[in-house]
Amino acid sequence: MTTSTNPMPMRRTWKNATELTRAASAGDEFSPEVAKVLAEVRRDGGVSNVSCTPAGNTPAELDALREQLREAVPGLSRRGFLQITGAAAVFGLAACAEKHPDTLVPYANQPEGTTLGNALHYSSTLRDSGHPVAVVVKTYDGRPIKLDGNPDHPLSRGRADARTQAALLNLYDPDRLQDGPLTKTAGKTGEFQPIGGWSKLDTEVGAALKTGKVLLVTPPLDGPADLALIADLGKAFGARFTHAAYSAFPRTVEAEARSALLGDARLPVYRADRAAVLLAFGDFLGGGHTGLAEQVEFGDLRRAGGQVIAVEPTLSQVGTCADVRVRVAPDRAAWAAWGVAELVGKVLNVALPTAIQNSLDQARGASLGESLGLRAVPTADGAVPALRFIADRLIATKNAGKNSLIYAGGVATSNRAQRHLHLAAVWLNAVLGNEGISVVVHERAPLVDNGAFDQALAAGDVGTVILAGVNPVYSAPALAGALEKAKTIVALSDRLDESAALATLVAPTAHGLESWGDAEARPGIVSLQQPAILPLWDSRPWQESLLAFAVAAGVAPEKFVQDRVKADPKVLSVVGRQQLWQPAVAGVITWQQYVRTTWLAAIKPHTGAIADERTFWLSALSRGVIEIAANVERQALKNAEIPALSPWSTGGMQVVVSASRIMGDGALLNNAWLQEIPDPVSRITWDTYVAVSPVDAKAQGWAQNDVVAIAVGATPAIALPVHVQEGTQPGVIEVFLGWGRTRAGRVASLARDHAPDGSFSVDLFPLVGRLPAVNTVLTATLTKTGAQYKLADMQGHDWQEGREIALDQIAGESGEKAKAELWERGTDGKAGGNISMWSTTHEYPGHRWGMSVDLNTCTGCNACIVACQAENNIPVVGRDEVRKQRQMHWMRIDRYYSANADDHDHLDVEVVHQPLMCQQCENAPCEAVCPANATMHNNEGISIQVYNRCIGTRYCANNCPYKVRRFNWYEYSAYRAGPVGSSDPFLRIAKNLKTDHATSSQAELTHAPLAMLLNPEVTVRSRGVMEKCNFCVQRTREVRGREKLSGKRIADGEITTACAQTCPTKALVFGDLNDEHSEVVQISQTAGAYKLLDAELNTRPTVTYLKRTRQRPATAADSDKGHG
Amino acid sequence: MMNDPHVPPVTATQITDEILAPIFRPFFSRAAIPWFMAFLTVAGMAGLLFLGVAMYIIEGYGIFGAGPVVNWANDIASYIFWIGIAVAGTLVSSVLFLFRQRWRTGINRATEAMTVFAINIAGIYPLIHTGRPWVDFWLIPYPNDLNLFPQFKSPIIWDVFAITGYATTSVLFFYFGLIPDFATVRDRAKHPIQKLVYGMLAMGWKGTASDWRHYERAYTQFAWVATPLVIGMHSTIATLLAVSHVPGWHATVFPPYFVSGAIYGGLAMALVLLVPIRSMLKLQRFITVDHLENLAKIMLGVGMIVFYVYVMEFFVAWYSESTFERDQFMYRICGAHAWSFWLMVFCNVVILQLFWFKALRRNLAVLMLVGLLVNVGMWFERFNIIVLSLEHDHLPANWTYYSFTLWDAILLTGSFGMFFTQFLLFCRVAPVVSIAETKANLLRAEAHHE
Repeated sequence: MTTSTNPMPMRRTWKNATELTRAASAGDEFSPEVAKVLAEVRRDGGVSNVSCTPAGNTPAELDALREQLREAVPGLSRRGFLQITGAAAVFGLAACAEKHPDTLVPYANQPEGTTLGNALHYSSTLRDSGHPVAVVVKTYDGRPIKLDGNPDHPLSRGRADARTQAALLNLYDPDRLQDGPLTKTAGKTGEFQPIGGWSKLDTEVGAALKTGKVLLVTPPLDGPADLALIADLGKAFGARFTHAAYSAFPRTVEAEARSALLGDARLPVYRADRAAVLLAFGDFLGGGHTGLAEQVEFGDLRRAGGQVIAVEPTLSQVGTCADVRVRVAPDRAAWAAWGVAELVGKVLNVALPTAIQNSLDQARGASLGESLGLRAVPTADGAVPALRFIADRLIATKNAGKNSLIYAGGVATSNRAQRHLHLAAVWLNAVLGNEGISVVVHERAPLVDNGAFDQALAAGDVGTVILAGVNPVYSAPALAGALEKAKTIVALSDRLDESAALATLVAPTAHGLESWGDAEARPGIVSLQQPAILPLWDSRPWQESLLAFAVAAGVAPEKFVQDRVKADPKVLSVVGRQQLWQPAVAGVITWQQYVRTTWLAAIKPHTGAIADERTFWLSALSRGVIEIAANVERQALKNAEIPALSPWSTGGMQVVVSASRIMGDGALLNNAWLQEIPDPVSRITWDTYVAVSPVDAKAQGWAQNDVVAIAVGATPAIALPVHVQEGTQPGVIEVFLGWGRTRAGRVASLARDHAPDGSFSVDLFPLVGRLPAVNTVLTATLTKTGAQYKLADMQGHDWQEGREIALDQIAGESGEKAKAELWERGTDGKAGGNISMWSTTHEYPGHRWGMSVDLNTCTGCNACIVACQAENNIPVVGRDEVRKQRQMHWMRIDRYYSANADDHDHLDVEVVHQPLMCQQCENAPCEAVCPANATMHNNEGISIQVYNRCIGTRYCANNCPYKVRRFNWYEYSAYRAGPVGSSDPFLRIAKNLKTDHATSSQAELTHAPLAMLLNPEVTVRSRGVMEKCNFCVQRTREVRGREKLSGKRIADGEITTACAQTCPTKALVFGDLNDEHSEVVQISQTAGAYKLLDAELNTRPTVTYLKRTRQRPATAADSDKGHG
Repeated sequence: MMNDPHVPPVTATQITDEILAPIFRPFFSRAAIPWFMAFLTVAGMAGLLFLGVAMYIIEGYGIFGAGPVVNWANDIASYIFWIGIAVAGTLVSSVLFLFRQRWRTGINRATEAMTVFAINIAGIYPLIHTGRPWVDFWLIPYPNDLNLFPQFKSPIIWDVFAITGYATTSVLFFYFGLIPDFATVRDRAKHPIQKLVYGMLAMGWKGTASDWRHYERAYTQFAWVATPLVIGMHSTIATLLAVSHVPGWHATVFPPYFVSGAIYGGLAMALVLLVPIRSMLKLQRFITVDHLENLAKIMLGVGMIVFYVYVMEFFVAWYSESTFERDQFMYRICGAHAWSFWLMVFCNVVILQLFWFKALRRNLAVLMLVGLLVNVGMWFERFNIIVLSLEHDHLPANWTYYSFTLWDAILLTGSFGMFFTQFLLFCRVAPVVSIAETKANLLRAEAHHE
């Protein structure tokens, strides 16, 4: 083992330009030292395609080498812009390596392949949303300023979800640990203080690791390199090492159900794109177990005319998108699912498990559906009992040779009380032939094993616990006691969170955009993670800390790599331009080197022959993703012996515990962007609440904003404000996990402590304990406290009141007629004519930008809003300002309910999500009334806003019928992190003086890093001016320059707005209306297209909406009528 | 004209003495105590205006209750309210003059002063309602090297011209009428500084026949200019709202509606000023109950017009078959802010019916009460138009409930304080009743008797 006596190289962090003028180090791959190593490699039979002479190359030879490298990369000449710039980034750095090897710099010295003022894109992978998402990072002068989905990735397809978009803010979060590794002053109770360098930390952890049991806790891992690291550590430490993947939202019950019925506990991924019917018993979209990929594929399902049936107790996100929604109490959901299974089984001649059949037979009154209190589904053939309707749809789909997908996942159903629901879903998927098609087992499945964690802790003899990027104490507060029994707790965390607070040693971890890594999100789809910036503060990736700890403990991790090199010397060529074993800590290979070699070694068996490893690596890195072969096993029912259904109760207020649809497990609670986007269903921001049924609210006298105390069993009552949620089953309340963190940071604390009347960001994990552990459906008693708390609701009114706003239709009912009527009304030369007081019309000689919004595919996920926020430097305003509806988002998603006239309690509401950005009206009401000429139409059809001409009369906003204009009521830009949000101006003045970060000095920026995320292409607006969506005018203007240079008209889809780019379901499409072949024109002319308020006001918007089409086919038209 | 009740039973000398008494009274005197009490109260309120504006300049418009849906609220409602007050003053001074209503002499000076001060207050609101008041001058068409001009399609620009034109005319008219009286003060003044100041204000008025001839002609011409101007001006302000899309604003009835409403509210404000002032300054012989009753009669007339428009608004909303209009008016009568609508109806329509009775029209307490309540009602009328319309516009998702903030209240209180402060100061430096015209009436009456 190499000792750590060498002088410690300082960890490099993001520095300003002057510091980079230091002398070049010898770490260049073309340097004599490296060349020597490579020569040795070749001598030993290794292969390197870099031909260095042992004496070092001449400048001319270096140039030749670079040319050689450049030509070696396929794709540079034929792929699109992102690939070119991505590759350029890699080569730019490779080429300038003489001076600053491996340094990501603000371009004070212009590297080759980089033009000052032009953005540089890197492909990478982020896990901030809980699932790996392949992204392209847009950087300016070394600062990441925007994340987009990676267009080459088959799952993200260029799109990203709200949490991934918001991950950028986490990078610059000032509440991250900034002072390097920490230790506690006095044992487990003292205060944290800097330990004095990484070597000291490594020595201490290493000493602790030398003896005793070691428990490593990580998040669920799927990346080949991550998994190899765990395996390597397991080998190194031997039997005393335990690895547990911890998740706040484990899918244990799901795994148990699969184990019981299929004999295989591995967890599947669900592919809605391969299903024609999605039957969701859990929230497929916002439930906490699905990510971007599921949303993307949900869009595919919708576009293909697939049907979504939701059977659920409370209105979930997928429930808002359902074509048919059936309410069911939580304790009867499994009965309903098995009721469907019974009907399906009869047709397919598959017997139900005996115990289940017996339960159903005993429970059946007149009919099972009626006993369960399920509503009848209205169809063209009249009302049909719900279970029959659902079974018919599933059978019809199967008979048509298509697949369905029965989904029972999501946090709300991940407790053991719902095990029969999962069993039914697994049974149905297997019987209907969905296994292996729409339900696919991940070979190298992310392993979540809270059991292993618990067992290891329960044994009580753990010497060292390493918490690597997990926060179990927040999601399982009961664990704190067991954890404290360990001799040493080491937390690898980016902040002093609830778990890190227990630790004695804390190693700050780098953000995903500062780290290397990899991921295998779906079987066979492997993406790479590369840093886009050097660590802003003194931190390192948690994997690198583990490597360093292993070295310090006497296990030499370079062995791991050397073994791989021996097995296949070609993997060496990807280690690249750096000195092969350049130590991060003396004797320790860096995580970067580990990823490079290990990744290739792990991938190679699946890729077939690779002609040139280095080229392969570089092209994979620049593309960000490769696809490898993956086996798909078709699971079949193996064991049908399962216990009987437990009877449903008749009384009590049943509690549904869901994941926060925005916050997930609370890891991102300190993210002000996420705090301020509204919940897709309730439209409430900044707080959590208890959702109650309108029926219960009426009966119990609860009104919106009443504070109630919720008592479950013996747990102390928890106070929460009431939100009366349409669509909630009477007798059911819904609460949300993921809130109420005490040590997440200042923004999360704002949510908890700021408001003088006590705000409601409440942790509900104490209420449910550990997720799978809840054995029966919880019941609660709610008591009115008499207090009132005003929830910050972003929507004023939830119903359309007979207006034609967010239109929907039943599939097949109106189609073509709607097209003729709605598209033509109020347009030139068409019915109604061009009624305008202006004699001239606008002319659009070049481009005319327009957008289409498909209400059919929009799920209300808010990704567009966060993307817009990042792209356009939109500030966060805080809870108090949202209460005044002063949110600055340039777009919003209105959510409208509709219900049958006889549904007075609004229990079976149907929902339309309507994204609303500036409609860029041709007859813009705003433009005519501006006295200062600050808003006007440009000749590309965009209603533009000239900030420095605006004096702020706000007449434009009054006259905008869509109310999409946003006014800077205060100097919002000064408190970007999340303001105090106080309505008390004196307090606000004090706050402004403290937090005004406005500065351009780079030294200042590192201290006030939030200013670094500003997009330099977009003005930061000052107080007193109006702003609004301008179709990302900075992007459309860029086209003009590009077209001028190339002389070629830009192709459709080459440029798009931030919102349309990120929309996971592709509900938003942006393009040129002057190009009749463009996608947006095609979509705008399909059936069901209409323009919002155009018929009434003749505003002639440029945005076209597509009606929400509800797939509610006549029940049994194409299925066997003889059953059931 | 035989028994003109509006000619005071006094001699010409008494006229001068009594009307000038508040000016020549020592500044601190027992007789001035009521004035001082009133002045200190309203001046304190006026201080709030400065506080509100200062806080706005420091902090931003966010301190007020407006939001991205109800972008205008207290600011524009109060602006229209104060402009309306001004309109009534012009009505008394010009319209009644042109109709040869000689009884206007008792009250025209006071109402003209009311006009000028109300415009003054009204002018503050649009200036500070902008997000960046320091660049308000961009609304003025002036040559600049940016080649930027205001956009004349914008009703805000129309407003700028209407208000500045009206303010200029009103101030000139007011001052012009004061010239002969300033000369009287100059002639009576003993203190040299007083002599100098009033001498300059009198602009060399000698009281010659030629002076009078020019004066009378010019005064008539001013009246001819001011009458259409005031109607046009307030109609323009009405179109500020009427040309927009907002349901509840977009109505052709607005110009006459606003003019009649303005006269109605302005006369109510005149009552509120005149009833206490006549006793405070001991001018009961000049500002008689007959004057006040006449104002009450006009109020009854225009008030009923306003009532008619209220009804017609509902009719038109129903008749238009526009969902937006219908919902807007349903919202006004039974929505969250219905209390403000019904408060308006109570103050402007119900209370007004007292004026059908002569005894009540001549009862000072009733006059004062109705004046105050109609002022409240007229403020809420503007509030209803501005705020309720915006609260409940096209897309239900935007519907909201506007709440006044502390700072809105401070600004509104301050504006009333500033208005009354100006008026009280005016009472001590200029004749509140036109001496020259009163004498002329007296002489004319005597001539008729003889």
